[in-house]
Amino acid sequence: MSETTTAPPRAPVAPTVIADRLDVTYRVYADSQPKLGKRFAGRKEDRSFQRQYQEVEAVRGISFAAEPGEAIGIIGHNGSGKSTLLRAIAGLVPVTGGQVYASSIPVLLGVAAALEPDISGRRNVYLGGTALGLSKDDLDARMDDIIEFTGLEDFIDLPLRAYSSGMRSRLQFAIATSVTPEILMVDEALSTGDGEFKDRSDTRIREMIAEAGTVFLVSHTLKSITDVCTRVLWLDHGQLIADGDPEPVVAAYQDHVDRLKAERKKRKKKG
Amino acid sequence: MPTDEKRPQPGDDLPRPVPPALPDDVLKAYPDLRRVGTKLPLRDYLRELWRRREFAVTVPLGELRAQNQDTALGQLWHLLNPLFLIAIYYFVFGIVLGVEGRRGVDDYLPFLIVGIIVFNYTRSSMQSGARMIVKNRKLVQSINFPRAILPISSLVSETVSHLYAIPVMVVLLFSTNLLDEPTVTLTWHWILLVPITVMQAMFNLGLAMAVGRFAFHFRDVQQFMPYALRLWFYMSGVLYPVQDVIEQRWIQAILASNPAWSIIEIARDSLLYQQVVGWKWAVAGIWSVLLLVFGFWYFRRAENEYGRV
Repeated sequence: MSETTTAPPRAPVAPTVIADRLDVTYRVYADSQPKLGKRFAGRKEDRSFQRQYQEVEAVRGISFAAEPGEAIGIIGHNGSGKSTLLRAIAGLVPVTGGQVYASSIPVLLGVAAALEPDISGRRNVYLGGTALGLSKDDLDARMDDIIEFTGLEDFIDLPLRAYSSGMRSRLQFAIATSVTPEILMVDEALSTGDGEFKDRSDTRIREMIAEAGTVFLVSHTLKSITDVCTRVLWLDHGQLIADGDPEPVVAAYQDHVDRLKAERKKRKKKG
Repeated sequence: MPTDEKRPQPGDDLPRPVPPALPDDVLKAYPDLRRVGTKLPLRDYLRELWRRREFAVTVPLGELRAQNQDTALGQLWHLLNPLFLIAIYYFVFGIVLGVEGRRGVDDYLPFLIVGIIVFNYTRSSMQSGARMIVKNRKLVQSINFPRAILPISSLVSETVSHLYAIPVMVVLLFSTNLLDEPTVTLTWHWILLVPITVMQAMFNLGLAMAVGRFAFHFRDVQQFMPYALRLWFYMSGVLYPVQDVIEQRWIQAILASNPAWSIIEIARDSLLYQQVVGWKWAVAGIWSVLLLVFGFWYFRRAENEYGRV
């Protein structure tokens, strides 16, 4: 390939997000710990009351700078570090190495977790909305819009545990998108719901992207990445593989996935 | 396309990503940028807490509403819980063991009522404080907010419960007058219940924050808590006047420096004995400021860690 697709020289615009050699390492505790007896009398490495853990390098040395107006897609296999990268940029998980700079606190549209199963949908809107920093007055003003958007008018005063999972995710989506931050991050888990709701939520995301300064979008739906994004980051095992225009990067990722599939098939035939 | 390599690597037909050329001092070069994941300065942190105050109230009120939704008696349980607690302790210690009339407790039932209601506020604050971070792990991992809002909201919830319990306590105290010689009278001292509750709220919040962080690092704390609280319960003179039972002066001094004991004492002094003892108020006051400051400081030191999986 030619050298023309390398990241273009930076225009003298102030970036909105900078990741500088970012590392995130998780400590994961093993589910089986040495028996008490072994801790006293066993091998040297068992003789410790520190719980035993493994380190997972979820994000390794990622650097990039994002500018206002960019919509950046993040692609990669499951476990490649996409969600961890978003969380680290949003300041939600501590970074192990490197730095993140941002012009305002990035807001992550993850699956809003503030929801309480035992209280009504309406009160859950208050709960999630105030968690996102909206005031009660703001929420009162927007309540009708939010409820209308969910399409759950008849169920809004029922406790959440009576909701189906699709209804729940509608509510979560409506709450999460009730604020438009300057730096927006969308995790793929949001694209749930039936076909009719999916259209509405896609439109909403597009509106938010148009309003927000910089957008990060994690998705496995490559089409939505090429449709929406102006730039794509490809992560593989925590490392940045490519950073550039959507078409070539997505095409290369697609090739890579196809190749893996083909190899798998071959192995299966042999075995 | 690769010929000599054994296996194509992902993305090797694309140019390597070029890291952005960053100035030596990013913050100086781009004054609009802030470092993410650093603690806010204290003043900004407090301002941010204030901005989210409605969240601190919405969560606990929702929870309280949800708590007894499935029970037939519903919200009545907030009143019945302290009632049963008092009935059981009165039966065991007042009637079976016969504490009344001995060891300087003339009127045991009012003594017990105040002790249990007041201690219960601290007990439940610590228990829900210990659960708070672990319980809200998902919330912490998906939304950026000053984490101190979580212990604050758990304290709000316990305070609301306590405010339900106070009228119960008052009614109970006056109904003891019906049993035998009336001993409980309403005097101006009762107004002291307001500063007492404020002081107790302060040190409960400090404790909830400290225990909350501690329980985040060591989940074992939640298992251990009931025993620590049980010991504290007995050391704080809820059931009998510890000061009079123990003769050694140095143990008495240790017991008297216990924040829960001093709060319970000044509450009894005000409601039952119409007196104000300066040094007991001083001990309670010092503890409430110390614990609040320490708890907040200790909790905030780990501010950015709470999102760790």
